[in-house]
Amino acid sequence: MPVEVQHMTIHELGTRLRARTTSALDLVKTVFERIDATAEATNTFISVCREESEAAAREADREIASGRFGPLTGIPIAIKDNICVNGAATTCGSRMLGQFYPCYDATVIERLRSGGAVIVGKTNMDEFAMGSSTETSFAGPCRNPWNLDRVAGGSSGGAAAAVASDQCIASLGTDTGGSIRQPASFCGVVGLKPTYGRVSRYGLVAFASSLDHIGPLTRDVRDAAILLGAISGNDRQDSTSADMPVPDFEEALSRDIAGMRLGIPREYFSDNLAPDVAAGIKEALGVLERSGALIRPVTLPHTRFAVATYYLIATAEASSNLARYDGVAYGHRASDCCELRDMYERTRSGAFGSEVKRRIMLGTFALTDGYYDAFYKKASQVRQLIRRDFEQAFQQCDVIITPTAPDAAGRIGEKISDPLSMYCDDICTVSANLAGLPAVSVPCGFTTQGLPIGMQIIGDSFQEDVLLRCAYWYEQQTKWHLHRAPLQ
Amino acid sequence: MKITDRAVMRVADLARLRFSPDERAELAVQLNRILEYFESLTEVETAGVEPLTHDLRSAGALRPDDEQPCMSLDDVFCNAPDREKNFFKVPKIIEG
Repeated sequence: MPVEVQHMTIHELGTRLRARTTSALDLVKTVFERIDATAEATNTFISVCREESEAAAREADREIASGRFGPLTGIPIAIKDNICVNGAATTCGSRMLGQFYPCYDATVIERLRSGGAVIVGKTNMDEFAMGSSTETSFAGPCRNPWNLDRVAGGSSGGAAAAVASDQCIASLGTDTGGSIRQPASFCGVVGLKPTYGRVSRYGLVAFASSLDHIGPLTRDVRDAAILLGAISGNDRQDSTSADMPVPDFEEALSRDIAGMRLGIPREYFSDNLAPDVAAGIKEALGVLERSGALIRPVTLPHTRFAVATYYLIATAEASSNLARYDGVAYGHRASDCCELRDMYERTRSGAFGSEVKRRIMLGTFALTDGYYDAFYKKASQVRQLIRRDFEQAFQQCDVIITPTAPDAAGRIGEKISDPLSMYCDDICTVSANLAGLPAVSVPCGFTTQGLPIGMQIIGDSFQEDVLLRCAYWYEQQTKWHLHRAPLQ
Repeated sequence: MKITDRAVMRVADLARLRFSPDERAELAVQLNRILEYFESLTEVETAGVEPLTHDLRSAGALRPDDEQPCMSLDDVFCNAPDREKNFFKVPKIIEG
């Protein structure tokens, strides 16, 4: 019976690699066999780094032989394609950057490399991270490994699908309004958005600078703790990076949750929740209560304004961040332009997809003279109130529990023509971005159609250790993470 | 609030985007629908509330204004669509 190393977690593989029962080279070759067999069906990767990853694996094996290793040495990791990897195409799922090759590594990539990790490829994503289904990518939609007619979620659909399909051991995604957590819940994996400032954004192609986060997608909570620890920490290259000490997130898992107060906000449990999701979360709360946690009803009164607040702020910031794509210094440039302004307009109109253009238009509108106060400034004030809601709630609880999404994965093509409807499905996730709070999605069961459901745990600022502890206890009681997608 | 075709053109101009008349018409419908939804924010009482733009704990990292190594010129130009010596070459501006 062949040992299926590509199914294993970072911590399981760490043991095998150090004991030399598996080599990093064999591991990455096995992962690539899996990629070759299945990645086309799921359309997970925009590009792969076969030769570079084998070279990195050989180096990892040399390090291990010399007695030098860390938790990530030799571990194959996939990277969402809006994070700069030196020498690898970084496309952001867009024609605008279809041939863009950064000459530097993002800080998170530097940290992975110095930890001996093996980067296997760049994963598919909604264009410039704008989307909740990975359907707006120039490379085509990413398909859900649990059901290929369904979306993998977005915008980190590829990163989630890669982990769920065993096409990598773990991945890094990004989350601006839920883009790590929602695909994690749709694909049955763990997805964590850290506190804003916990992980450096240097080298992350900006969508909305006050809302963007980089975070791990993994098979289990222990792996999320390990990967989060590896990428966290102050970075002088990112002026929004927090100067906060990084705790040992893995050590935090060992403490139990007796007496932990779980805040349940009534605004997240409306009639709009799919019955299977409501039932799954209710069952999960029962498991947590039986482990000694205490249920505390709380209220987050401004929740119903969160989607409007988020989309006004995110599109305004995006209109500013995407102004740099002008065809001058890098990226796509329209051909045969006789005049500068013509070049700007034809470059941008020709290379951005329709969702990106729609959001740039919305954001530009929100910032124009005469509308700035009514839209952008108003949204920023409501953002303050949303943050205060959480501050009040955290006086009565240690973590807040909600569904990650109102429903499981929809069909490909179902929602893409109705942007507002897609925006409204982000209702469970956007508030954590607006308030800068850490949040994780853990698998908590399946719908009657066999699609994964996710439970979201939101923590207070810089308290990833508390939310990881809650997530870990739940996971160990239920073992949902041991289920495998039926992808052949 | 009703977004007119004229308003769409003005915003497109600011964003350096170009749309056909049909695209503008479709955009006006979509933007109207979305902005109507955003108007729900007018229900929120925000008098005296400070706008939140970022977490203050993370802000304001300064360093002495010393020269630091940065990208080499070749790296700067590594993705340039059109380079001439150490310049990015672009079409000229025609005053109109």
